[in-house]
Amino acid sequence: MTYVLIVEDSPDQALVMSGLLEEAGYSCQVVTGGREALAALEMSPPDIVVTDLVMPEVDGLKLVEVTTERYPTVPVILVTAYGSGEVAVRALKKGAASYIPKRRLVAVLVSTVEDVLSVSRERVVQLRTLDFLVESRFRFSLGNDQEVIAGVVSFIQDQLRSRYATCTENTCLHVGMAVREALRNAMHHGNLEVESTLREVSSGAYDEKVSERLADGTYADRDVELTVTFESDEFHCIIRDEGSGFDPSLVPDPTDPENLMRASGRGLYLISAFMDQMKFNSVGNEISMTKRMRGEADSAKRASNAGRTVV
Amino acid sequence: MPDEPWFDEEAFAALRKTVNGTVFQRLLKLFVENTTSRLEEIMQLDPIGEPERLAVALHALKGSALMVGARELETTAEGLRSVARHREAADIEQQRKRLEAAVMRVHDRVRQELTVSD
Repeated sequence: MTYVLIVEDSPDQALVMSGLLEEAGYSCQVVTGGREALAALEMSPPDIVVTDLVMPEVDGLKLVEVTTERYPTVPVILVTAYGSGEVAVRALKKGAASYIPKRRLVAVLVSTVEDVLSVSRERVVQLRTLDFLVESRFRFSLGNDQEVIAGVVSFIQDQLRSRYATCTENTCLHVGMAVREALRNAMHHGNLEVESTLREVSSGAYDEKVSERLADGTYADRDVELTVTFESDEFHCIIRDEGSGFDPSLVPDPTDPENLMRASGRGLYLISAFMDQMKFNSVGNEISMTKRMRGEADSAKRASNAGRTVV
Repeated sequence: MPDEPWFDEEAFAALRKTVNGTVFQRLLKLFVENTTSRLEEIMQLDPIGEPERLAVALHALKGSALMVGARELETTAEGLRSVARHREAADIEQQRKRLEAAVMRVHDRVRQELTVSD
């Protein structure tokens, strides 16, 4: 039976909600505030949460934020009253699935819960199916066209979001930044052989050199090959250029914060900060990066997807 | 544009029709109890010194009013929330009296329903 968690501090309003939903065949648990809701979520994640927006202590907005973060497959519907539109918009932006004006609660509560659940179930089924997918791999031949980097990064981020229920927007951002920096390095420093130290002279000199090399077939015709692999627990990315390579041992230590302020080497610093592992081949024309996608917090989310309680 | 009725009989009938009879009766009793205690809380609160508690109590009262179609109670509660924001003591007192009257009026209507069912 589908389990609905109702968060409402007024007993009469809670009774209307549970009455309507139970009549429609749902099983309901009523809690009177955001704090109790979080405890109930931890005990046994429901299929859906219906919550009032204005509550003492942990309000509906905070509840949406925490639920979306910890239980990404549990949708939240807000029940709003006149005068709380602005907060409702913020809650929708933070991840609430839908909202119901209190004035229309009796008329639309059941149909809204049904609509949201049908969409959410498709997502849960997709994620469960993806749990059985061992690996998916994509290879790109990018040349030196910087314009395609944004599209490739966006493609990878979409894959991360759909592939890993645990992937937060922050992780997506970090991986995207790391891939972008590594691709730019491969194009500029690898294929076009433009030294990053030129930036310390002036950014104009650096850009000028890039344009010059892009007009020279010796450099411009080289390729950058990107291979991304999505495994069940890890994301791997290998970027290989056709330049002459470099001695990786000469790169300033990217984990040393001292190097953060240098105009050159910033990309490697970001990559090493954002990814769990980074290494070069011996020639120095290939970088491999790994991001682990299942940490401790992630296990809780996975368990909630599978309908289990995490102890 | 015609004025809204003080009590939306259609919304009330829709509620009666949608939830089962036992739940409806329990709901009406809870409504009377809950709005009585909310009103007491609102009358006792210092509207200038405790604006957040007042806002939460009025929000709850408005929500309860909306459930049963008590339009006048909803707008009066919203009116009190609005004057409390401007911190005018005289306006607040006047609006609180209106709110008390609106609650009593809705209780009379709801109790009729309870009597009919008994």
